[in-house]
Amino acid sequence: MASNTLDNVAPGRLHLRLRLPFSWDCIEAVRQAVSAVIAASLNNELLAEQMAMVASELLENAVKHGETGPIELCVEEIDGQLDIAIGNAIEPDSVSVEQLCARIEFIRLFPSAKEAYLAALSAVYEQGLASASSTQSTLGLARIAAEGECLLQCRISRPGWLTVSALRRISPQQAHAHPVSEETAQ
Amino acid sequence: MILATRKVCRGSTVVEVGLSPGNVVRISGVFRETGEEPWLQDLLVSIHEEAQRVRLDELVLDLRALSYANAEGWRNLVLLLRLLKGPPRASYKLLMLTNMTHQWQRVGIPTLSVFGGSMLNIDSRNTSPESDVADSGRRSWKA
Repeated sequence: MASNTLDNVAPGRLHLRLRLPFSWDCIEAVRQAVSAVIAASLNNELLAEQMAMVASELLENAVKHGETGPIELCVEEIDGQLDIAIGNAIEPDSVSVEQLCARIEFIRLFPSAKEAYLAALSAVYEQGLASASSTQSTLGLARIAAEGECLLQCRISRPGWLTVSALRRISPQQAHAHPVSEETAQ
Repeated sequence: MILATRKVCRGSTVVEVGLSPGNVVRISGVFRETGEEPWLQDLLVSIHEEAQRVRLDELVLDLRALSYANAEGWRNLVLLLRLLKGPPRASYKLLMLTNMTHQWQRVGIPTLSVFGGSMLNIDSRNTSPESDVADSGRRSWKA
């Protein structure tokens, strides 16, 4: 989460910050909300749907692997990138953080995100009906990278708090679809 | 040579089996499951077994009204393709009706061809399920 108050947000820049319950049931509503906000702010339906999927998969991971407690979602446009970050509580020395980092590293090893996605799907195919939920978690992350065209990062942003970010480069045409006037900017 | 008609509703997902002409499985709504209770996986396995038993030559999986699916949804589709390819190789081919206006289908569905090979056909004409009613009796899925 890059900023704590709206004072640091440039006028006209998309910035959405939500504190969410630790609940699987709210994820679909959040996905639709993220889609609506990005579509309205950047006037790009495809990008909105892609990034809504990204938020949705990250939220699912937080609910599946995180500790019970509030989850923070931040969607912001910074320096030609759209950043979706999900923060949630974790146990100190949690194994799931290590596994998450390993999965992100696995995806980065491939020359392209689509190849990583194909590898994740192949793992499911090879394991067949015995495929475990761990393959689904990798699949979800690979999907974020391939379908969402995002670069994944994770870090312990404060003690006991994990933040996973998905960064999507956006073109100047996509950014500031609604131009900010001089007066507004001042 | 038709599937027994049934309808399964779980959360925001509806699965209708045996729709006319008897070999259509339509999944609609939003699919978001954790994978802890793999009800769709179990249902697809049972449909596959039934399709083998009644010796279908084609099973139609209609995803056009499925507006979103999470990674578990993809896992289920890949598993169905695994069943299709065998061993033993299925007696039927799978035709997937898709709607690429749903963003979630754009990248993933073409990727499924890698696993389905010649056993999988993908119809990406983005027609709506409602248009089938007007077309019934005239339309061949194999067209």
